[in-house]
Amino acid sequence: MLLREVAYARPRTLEAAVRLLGEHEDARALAGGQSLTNAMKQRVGSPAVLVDLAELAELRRIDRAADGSLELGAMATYAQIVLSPEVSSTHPILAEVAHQIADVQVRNRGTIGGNVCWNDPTNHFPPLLAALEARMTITGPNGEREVGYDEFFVGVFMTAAGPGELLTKITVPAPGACGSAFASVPIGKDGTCIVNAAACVDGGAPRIAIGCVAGVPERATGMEQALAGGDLSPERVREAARGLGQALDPPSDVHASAEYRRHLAEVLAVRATLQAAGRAA
Amino acid sequence: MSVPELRATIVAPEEQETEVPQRGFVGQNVPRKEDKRLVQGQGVFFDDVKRHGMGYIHFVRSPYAHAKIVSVDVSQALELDGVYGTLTGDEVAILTDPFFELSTPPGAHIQDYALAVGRVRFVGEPVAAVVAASRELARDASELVEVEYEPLEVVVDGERALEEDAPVLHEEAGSNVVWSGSFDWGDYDAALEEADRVVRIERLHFHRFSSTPLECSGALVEYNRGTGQWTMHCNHQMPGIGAIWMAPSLRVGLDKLRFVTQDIGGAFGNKICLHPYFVACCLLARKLNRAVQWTEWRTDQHQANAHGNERTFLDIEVPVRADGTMLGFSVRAIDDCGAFPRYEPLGAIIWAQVTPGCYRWRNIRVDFTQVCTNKSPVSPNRGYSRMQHLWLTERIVDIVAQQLELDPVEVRKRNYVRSDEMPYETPNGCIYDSGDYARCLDIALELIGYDSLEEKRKEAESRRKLLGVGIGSTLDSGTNNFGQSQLVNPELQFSGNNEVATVKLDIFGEIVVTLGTVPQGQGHETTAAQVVCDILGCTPDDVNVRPGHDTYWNSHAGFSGTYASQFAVTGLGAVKGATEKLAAEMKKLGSVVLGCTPDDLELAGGTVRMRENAEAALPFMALGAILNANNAGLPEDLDVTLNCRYVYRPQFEVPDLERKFGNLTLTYATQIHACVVEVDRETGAYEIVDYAAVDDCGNRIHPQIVEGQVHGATAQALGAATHETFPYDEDGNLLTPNFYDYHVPHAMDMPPLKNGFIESPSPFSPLGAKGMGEGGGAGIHATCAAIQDALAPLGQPVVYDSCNPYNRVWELMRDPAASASLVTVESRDGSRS
Repeated sequence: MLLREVAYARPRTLEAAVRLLGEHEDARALAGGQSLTNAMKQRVGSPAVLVDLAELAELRRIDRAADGSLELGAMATYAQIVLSPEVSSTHPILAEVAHQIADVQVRNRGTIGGNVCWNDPTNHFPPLLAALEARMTITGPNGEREVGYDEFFVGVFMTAAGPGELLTKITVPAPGACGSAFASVPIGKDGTCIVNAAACVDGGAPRIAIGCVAGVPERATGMEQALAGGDLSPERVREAARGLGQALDPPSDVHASAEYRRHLAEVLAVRATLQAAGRAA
Repeated sequence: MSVPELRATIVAPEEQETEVPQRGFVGQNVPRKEDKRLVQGQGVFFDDVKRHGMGYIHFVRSPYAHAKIVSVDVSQALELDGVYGTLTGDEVAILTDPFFELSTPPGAHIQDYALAVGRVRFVGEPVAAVVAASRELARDASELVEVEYEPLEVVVDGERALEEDAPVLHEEAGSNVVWSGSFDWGDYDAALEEADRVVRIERLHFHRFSSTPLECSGALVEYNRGTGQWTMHCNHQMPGIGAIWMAPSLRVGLDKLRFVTQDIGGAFGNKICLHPYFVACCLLARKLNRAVQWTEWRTDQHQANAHGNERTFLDIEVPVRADGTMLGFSVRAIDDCGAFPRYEPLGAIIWAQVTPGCYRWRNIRVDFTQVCTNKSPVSPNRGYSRMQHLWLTERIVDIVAQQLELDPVEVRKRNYVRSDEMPYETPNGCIYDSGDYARCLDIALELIGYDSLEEKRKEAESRRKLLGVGIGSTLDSGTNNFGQSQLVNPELQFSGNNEVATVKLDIFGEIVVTLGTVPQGQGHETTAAQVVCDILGCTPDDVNVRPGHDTYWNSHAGFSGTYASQFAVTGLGAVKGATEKLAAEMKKLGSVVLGCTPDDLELAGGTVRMRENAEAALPFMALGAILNANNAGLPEDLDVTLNCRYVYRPQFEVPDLERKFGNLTLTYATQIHACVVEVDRETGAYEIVDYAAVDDCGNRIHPQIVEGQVHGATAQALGAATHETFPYDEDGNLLTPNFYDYHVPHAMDMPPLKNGFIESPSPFSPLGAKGMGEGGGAGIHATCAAIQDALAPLGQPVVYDSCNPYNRVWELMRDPAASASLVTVESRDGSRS
């Protein structure tokens, strides 16, 4: 309703989708529509062609690869992730975080691919996938390519999936003995995150990523290095987090000052890391 | 579906009796008459009303907070196929007169039109309108309207607006001041002399927010060229006043304006000031000779409909005795009404309905100034003006208790007006009709387990949470004496109040009720039927209450509408009066037919019958048929119409304008709320973990409806206290223009609500009931107090703002001295702390 005039296509094959995205200069892929259609209603974004991916069943698959990694189709909904036995058997953190997103209606429509491709800095999945060191498969006119999360997230609302390309799959490496956790301060119980943090502990150095503080999820590399020795006692983790906030350059907005975000980044990095350590044990 | 089946589906089991139960229906939770159509999706809201060939309106809105309009060019929009026409500010300036202003000068000189004329004064202000065959097309076309602006300096802060060199919004007024005045009751100077301590608070700020009705504003407007009449299918909640604004502006008589409503998805006061939009709709319907519809969008609603009043309290001074007895207070208040006053400056007096809050304070001095800024205009918002003031009184109590190390519960009880003092006259002449605040407080404390508070604090501490408890004590003053408007402008010809109902008995014995009110979810059809059936001796199912408001179809009066917590008094007072007239006529007619006197008869079981012989009975159908269709032989002098109209008019005097003294409202419902919060020590994020709301609104007509309204008012308050805020940047851009950033409480955010009720009947209202729909923002006050209590161990920070998102709580924790320094205590032995 009240969108600018837009052409709409609902291809039945991935090839057709990629072709349509390549053929039209101002085409956008439509996944769950939980962000894009709102932007279109506000007319801050008005693609000429919408390529709806709803019919592409292959993009909704959640599979286990031979090497034990988890392969999430880009069109897997949050609800699917919450309920998937594959997810809960090896990567329950994905289900835990998906369950925190908004409400049941949104979870039934919203997809993990849409979440990361939109790359709103307050989204839940970018920092989590950074801590899990996920890889993204992008399909374009010239075939498939795989990029790491660090290459995938480019900036606010920007990713490595360029014009004519489509994110098709997110691969999360096998967890080993990894424990993962996610901590956030949202507005109210289920509102937008003010700051969030994800941690993954796997014997050696933990991997810690902070969301809402920059255009891309920020790995807390200093903190990770300080904890490389493997001592994840609460005192040690708190010590390692000190100064993390000052190393960040978060935005100030109506919900939080940059200073508050710096503070929350430290608190939440500690919480996520300690919880992850507890789960790894 | 036959009629009996229908009844079976909507009548609760305990009411399935053929005989009328002995007890009355008033006071019972009868099934709501409105619910069947609403839950089946058969309600009719204004946007459901369509007309052949109608056009859709889209407003072109200002992207600037303050700018001169250099030019408006609609030519490209008009060229688009399917565009029916446009309207610009230049046309409006020719075709209409500015809306009348309620204020004395300087506010009186402000010129407010349906569209911006020559200058825009807030982001989102309508500059032009486009009408097209579809909403999408209208929106597309509006993007082709070229408006050239010349930006002006912006002022978004009320205090800044008062400075000498501040940009002036309304040059014709010559100042940003709308209205200012002083109020001085009791003997404040003597109270200062008498005090053992004087607590001074430098500044407190009540923030800007608003209610967010599920249904935004709008109207479908038709113009009848033959008669010159406009019909507005709309959701205006106060048509009586709306027409008084609109008709002179449109240069027509009141009777040319017909307001029609059926179902409204919430209003909360936000739908009182729709007249600028409606006048634009009327002009377009006339100009284009076609029905037009305007449906407001959420972002428009946030940016440019109506916010609640923002108020800054400065130099607060509280004389206190050593035992915690407060003798009154003085304060300088600056109220920011945004770009246009509209319903203002009534907010500059409405607070005086509850001048001392719930307290026995006798000496009060208030200096009140209302200013314009480059922000959305305000309008009454649930708890209108009293909520801001009661937040002040509650902050005073909790800050004084904190500073003097007194128990906030004990301080309240020491200062509350006592039940044995009711009716109680406040220092400015308002009469608190009834109530027992201390008892309500005891119930609230019991509901949250106040006795085991210290154990709960320890348990929370073990989870690194700080637990705090806060109380909000408020009054919902209802049934305005509009004479209070003369305290802001003696020229205004408003006083008293009224409401209308008609009740008739039709040919087949149908009882049909019409209301002058404008229900928005409050269940007027249900409660009106309860009152009617108890008087006529039948059941609510026998009573048909026409839904909604209709200026032509129903009867109405000058103050008709649904606002200001008054239906249970004014609306039902009118229903009661009309029904009693009808009952008397039915007995009179019955006495003629049955050959007895009216006193020999009673109304029971759907009949009029002999008291001594129930067999001698005439069913309602017989009465209706005899008078309406079979009346040959009835005596010539039988003055019976069976169609009775009654205007309820509460007894009020015009206030004493010199002393600013008089009774400003008829009833005062009590709300005592208690809130328990847990604050995260590290982040400042907090959660309301327990909550009790105890209300006393006198006799409850329908307890479940009362409880529902308590829940709504509580949710409104908790949203405002935590996350709902309308802040602006320095350029005058609203930073929370829709639900992306404006976080209302979701179901998950609401604490478990514990409700308690006592009933202190009002001696002044027809049914002993009191208006109660607004509450007094008790949840805001209680949450602020609870946060202050929770943070006390960290260095006694002072909660100084009514909205406390996590960031602010963290700042209070991190630097408690900053807020604590807002307060000083002078001991009358000369020492200061």
